[in-house]
Parts: sequence; structure tokens; C-alpha cells
Amino acid sequence: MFLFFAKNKPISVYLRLNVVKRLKSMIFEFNKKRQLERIIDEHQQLLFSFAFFRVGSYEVAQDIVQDVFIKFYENSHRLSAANNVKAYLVKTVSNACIDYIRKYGKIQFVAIEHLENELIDENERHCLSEFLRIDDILSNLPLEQAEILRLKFVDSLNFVEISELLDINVNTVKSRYKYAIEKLRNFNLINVYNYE
Amino acid sequence: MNELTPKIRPIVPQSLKGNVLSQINKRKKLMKDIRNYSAVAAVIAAFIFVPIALGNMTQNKAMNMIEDSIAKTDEVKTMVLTYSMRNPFTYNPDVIEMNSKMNEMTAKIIFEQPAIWRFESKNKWYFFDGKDAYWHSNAYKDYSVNTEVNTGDLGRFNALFLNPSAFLETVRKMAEDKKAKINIQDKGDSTTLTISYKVRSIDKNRFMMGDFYGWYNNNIKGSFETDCRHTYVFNKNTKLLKNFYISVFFNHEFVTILKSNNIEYNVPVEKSELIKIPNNLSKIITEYYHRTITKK
Repeated sequence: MFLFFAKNKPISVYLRLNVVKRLKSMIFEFNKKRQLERIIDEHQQLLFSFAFFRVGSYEVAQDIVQDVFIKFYENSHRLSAANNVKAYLVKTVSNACIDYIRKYGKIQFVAIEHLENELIDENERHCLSEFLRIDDILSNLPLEQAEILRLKFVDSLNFVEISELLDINVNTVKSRYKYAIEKLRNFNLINVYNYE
Repeated sequence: MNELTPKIRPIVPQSLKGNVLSQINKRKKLMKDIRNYSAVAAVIAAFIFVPIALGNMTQNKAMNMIEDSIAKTDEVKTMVLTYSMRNPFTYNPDVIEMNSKMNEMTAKIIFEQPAIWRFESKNKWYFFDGKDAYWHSNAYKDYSVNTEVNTGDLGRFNALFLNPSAFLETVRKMAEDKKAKINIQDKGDSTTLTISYKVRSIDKNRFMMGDFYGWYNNNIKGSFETDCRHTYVFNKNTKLLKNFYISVFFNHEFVTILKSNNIEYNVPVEKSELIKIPNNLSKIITEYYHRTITKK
């Protein structure tokens, strides 16, 4: 074996190549993790909020977002070409929320005052209250219109981002938005001046 | 601020990032373990299934080789075979005595109808002239004539050489047995077939040659089962048997009990030479079925 190596290339070359290969792999892994950490820091607030205002649970929202980041990391070799990480992540979280709601149905909420005695975070309780309030208003609209308003006001996405996420024309987004606002105004659920 | 904008935003749990990173590490470890276990499982599967597959392939190869040899052996006209057995000259020719030395026997056969043959060792000989069978042992100083064709005097095993195809057919049946372990090796112009088998003795240190070919099922008190190895070497070009030997595991080692020293096919054999009786011997005629013995 040694002779074979020695005849062609010194064994030290093979060892060096092997070490270099392993080092490269380690550096690649290290960089990949650093990159993921940066992406988590940058997008976790948006994604967590997005998921929470769909499923109405901190715990479920956390699970969904964690899974999305893990899948993102595992498929990162395919995603390196993706130029819009934010759009990809939002879309993936959105899909995961839809899957969750389809699978488990609408969450049955208890009255907020009943949560007083639960071991629940202050922020979570207030957010849950906000989720119920907004969900109550949007329940008066068709689903596709409600989703446009949720994306616009809850998730703070612009019309272009919404059109990309829902894969529909920007004008369609705008018209749905317009009809939704008009409808809520007619119901006296919103002050129309806040939406101009 | 409007009615549809949350007045408060959910705070991302501090554990989220940590959970993601730790789960990634766990999954990587799990995948590594799966790869390792898969490798181990593959090795185990290889240990289990490859020998079975190779065993079948080897068995088929052995079958083909023996069948080729049988076909070629049928064309043989004469054979001169020298072999050694642990057979004491006073014993039945099929008995193997483990404490005995290897005694050499030469078989010369002309494959006619009927076959003319002579088996001869230092202390005994047997021959058939086409009509009667003769045998002699130095222990008796006489020679006997059986008025029937009687290869029984040769013993069942030795008689197999009178029909080498039948001998190879016996080998083929052994190789076909699922309990047998078969190994085939090619080297130069030879192919060596080794068949490993279990054999049962008839006594604490004695076997019958038939035991080595699975003919008997001895359950005699004092008998024991042990490993035996048959080795048959074939000439790759002529397909004919070139060499053979059998060893048995006895007293912590493999002991050779039979081995061929030389096999020659289609060599000139004089019939007169086969049926020669020394002048100094007196004759006993044995009526084989009536067992009447006449001494002259």
C-alpha cells in the first residue's frame, strides 16, 4: 500500500489533501451555520409574528418557525440560488400554517379572562387578545380578502410582496384590498380614514 | 395605527434560535449514526446473504464441472489408478482403520463389456477376467475364485472405480447436498473442488468408506460424528479427475485416510497382465451363492 502511494505521490500529499478536504468541509459547515444564525436573527421576528397571527399559539408558532429554519438549513444547497430569502421563508411559514390549520382545524379559544390562571406569558396573553380582536374583525370577510388585510397590516408586507407570496397579480391584491376595506367600513368595524 | 394593526407584537421566544441549532446538530448526529448503522447493517447482510448467494453459485459451478467430467469419463478406454488408504490388508477393503498406515493399491481397468480389472496391493490382489473374479491375501496364502462376477470382494467403494462415472455421480450427489460446504479454486490447468461434510464412524477409531459418501447411517455405540473433507482435482482441459483425497478430523487434526497417487487414462494395459496368478499359489473355488469351497 505504502509502495503504491510512494510510487505515484508521496503519502504526505494524500494526508495533506485529506486534511485540506476535511478542513474545507468544516469551514463550509461553520460558515453555513453562521449564515443560518444571521438569517434567524434577521427574520425570526417577522416569521414568528406571522405564524402566531395565523395559528394563535406561541407554542405552535415556535414549532412551525423552528421547523422552517431547520428545513431551510437542510435544503440550503438548493436555496443558495434563491435571491429572496425573506420571501422564501414567509412563503414556507405560510404554507406550514395552512397545513397546520387544515390538519388540526381552527383552534378553539377560551375566553381571555380564563387564561388568567394559566401559566402564560404576559406578552403572549396580550398578543392572544390582539389575535382574537383582529381575527374577529377579519371573520366578516371572505378568506382571500381577509388574508390580504392580514398580510398588509399584521405582517407589514407591501402589495408587491403580497402578490409574490400569494402568487397573484398586484392589481388583484389592490382590488381585493379595496373591496375588503369598503366592506369593513360598511360594517362600521373600522375607521376608514386610517386606511387611506 | 389602525384597527387591523396589532397593538403589541409577539416576542420571539429566546429558545427558538437555540432549539434550531441544537436540532440541526442532533439531526446531523442522527444521520451520521444512521449512515454508520446502515454500513454495519449492510456488512451484516453481506455476511448473511453473500455466502448464501455465493454458495449457490459455487454449487452450480461444482455441478457443471462434475457433469462435464462424467461426460468425458464415459469416453475413457483404460485407467490405471494408484491410491493409498488406511486399510489394513487383513481387513475388508472398505474399512478405514485410523491407526493403520496408508497402504497403496493399484487399480488397472480395461473398460470393455464386461470390464477387465485388477486391484493389487503389496499383500492382496483382486481381479476379474471377464468371467470369474479371483482374490488373494497373503494372510491366507491361497487364492479364491468366485464363479460369479463379484465386486463385493473389492468393497463397495473400490468397486466404484470400475465405473468412474458412477464414482463422479456419487460425488455430484454429495456436492448437491445442502448440508455440504463447497469450495472451488482454479489454479493453472486444475480446478479443485473441496466438499466439507459431517461423517459418522462405525467405531471409536474406524470408518467404512461408504460413510464418507453418505451411504450408511451408523448409530453404533461408540461411533462419533466428525468433519471430513473431500478434495477432487480436475484437469481443466480434459475435464478428467486428476487427483483426489479425503481427510477426516480425528484426534484434533485432519488425518488423510485416502489419497490418489496417480491417475492415468487411456494408457496401454495388457489384459494378460491383469489376470496373472503367481504359480506358487493353490486355488480355492468359491461357488458364490452356494458357498461350497473346494480346495485343489
